[in-house]
Amino acid sequence: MNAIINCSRRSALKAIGAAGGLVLGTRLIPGTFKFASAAGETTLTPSVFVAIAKDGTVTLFAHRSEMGQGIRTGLTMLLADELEADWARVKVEQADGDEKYGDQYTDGSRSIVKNFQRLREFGATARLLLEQAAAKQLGVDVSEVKAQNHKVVHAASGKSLDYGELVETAAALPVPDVKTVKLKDPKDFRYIGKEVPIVDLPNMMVGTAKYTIDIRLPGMKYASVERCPVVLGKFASYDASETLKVPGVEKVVEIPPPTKPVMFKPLGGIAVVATNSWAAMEGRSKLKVQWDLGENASYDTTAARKEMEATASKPGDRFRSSGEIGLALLLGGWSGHIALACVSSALRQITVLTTFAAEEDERVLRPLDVILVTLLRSALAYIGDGGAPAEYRAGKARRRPGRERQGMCRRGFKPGRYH
Amino acid sequence: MAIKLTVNNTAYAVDVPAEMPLLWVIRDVIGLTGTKYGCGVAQCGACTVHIDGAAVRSCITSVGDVAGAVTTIEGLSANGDHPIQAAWTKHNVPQCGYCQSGQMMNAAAFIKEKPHPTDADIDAAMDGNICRCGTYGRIRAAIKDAAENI
Repeated sequence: MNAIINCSRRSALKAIGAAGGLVLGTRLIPGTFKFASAAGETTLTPSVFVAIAKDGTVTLFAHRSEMGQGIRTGLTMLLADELEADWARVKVEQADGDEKYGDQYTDGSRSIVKNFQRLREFGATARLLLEQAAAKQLGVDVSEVKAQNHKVVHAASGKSLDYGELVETAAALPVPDVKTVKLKDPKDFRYIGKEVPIVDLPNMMVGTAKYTIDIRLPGMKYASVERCPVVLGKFASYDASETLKVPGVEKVVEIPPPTKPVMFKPLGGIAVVATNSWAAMEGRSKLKVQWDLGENASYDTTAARKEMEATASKPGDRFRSSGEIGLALLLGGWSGHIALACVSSALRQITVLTTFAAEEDERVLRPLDVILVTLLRSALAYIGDGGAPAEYRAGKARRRPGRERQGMCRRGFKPGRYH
Repeated sequence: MAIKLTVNNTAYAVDVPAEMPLLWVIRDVIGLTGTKYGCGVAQCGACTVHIDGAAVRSCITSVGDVAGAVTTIEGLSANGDHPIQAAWTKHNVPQCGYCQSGQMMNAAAFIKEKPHPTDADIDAAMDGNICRCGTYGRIRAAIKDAAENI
């Protein structure tokens, strides 16, 4: 449950031009996905998600990373729709990386799943506050007014007030309990499910959209890293004398190789630090490195394939077991082949779904569903890998997307040479 | 020895080696980051800028060899309303947008030379600009639209 709080009075918000406006945030307990709902937890820093300035500009803080998948636009659609905001008057600020925003991972196609309800509730709460403010300013009952495209309209008198004219009053009102906030009927959606211009379009048109490579910080240096061509290898010796002669190169930094399991650890190497990108690259090209290729020196695609084939023929490790495996065995028992397919697939499905269920507490796992899905998929798999996406079967995709992979990794997948 | 050059109608004197690619002078020295680094070897088109109106790949153009006035995406028009920018906006062309500065600079130079391009003309002219999001269909439609309005 979202605990939406009013943080309009916080001075830090002046930086975004929202001083004097309406600002709603939430409190999160770092490290969990649970929202704090108890009153009195005033020591926690609220995470600002939406601010409405006196000129009516709505600012959303995007706490997910944009990679061309459109999440900055997607999050904005959720908020703006429930807020009844004019798309042209909504802008997005990129949130920094901070625990106060809770989970900021942008992966697994779950940013919308995780934020769909939450941001709609934020938008709807802000809309209700603006309606209450309008009713107060007009001296009418809140049931007589309705938010419509960045204005709150009083149909009986024909009067309307822009959001910007309401924020001061709204900021002084208590935030309604989110349970009392009415979300839109999906048929009334104006942005969700519709095509809208991406929020970064105007900036992209004139070259001011910010990508990671465009970040500039005071005193920032640029680095280019020469890496060992083999994972877990390291340099035996190197000569940076020519590198250090390149104008703009300031120093060379040794980065140790990772320890096993490698996973997402930095791969190590020799970093050339310079005052600009080109000097760093030029300096790197002039490094003379003798690599010690390490334990993977002779490991190649053929060796990897042989290892995987040998591993695949061994019994699997059971990471977790739950659900009605017996039923799968019973129903699948009429054919030896299908039974085997069922057992392996059942284990996989159940593991995947239970793992997922543990993460998404609102998701309820029903063992019978799992068995039915498993049976169907096993049968399809037996017929000809029919359970896999078409592009996978056609050999166009390297792996099955999404949860299959997540499940595999969680099911005690033994860290190998590259993991 | 400072090198003099004009970027978006502003004169600069930059103290860099003459062989430094124009791309890095624009991005890291002058500080205009709209021009993107993609491949560094003129194979992707992300770094495309204009020199005296002609599209060039700034990642392989040494700053010491630049003889004309440089225009980047930031200077393509005063208000972001060049026919190419207007058409790109109308067709909602970008997805991630990273290649689009280069796409627009290449397209802007192209339609000036060929105001009534065919699909084949567009494909040939834009062949060196890669878009990993695959916005080619919208790029072609936007160029045709812009060509009609120029």
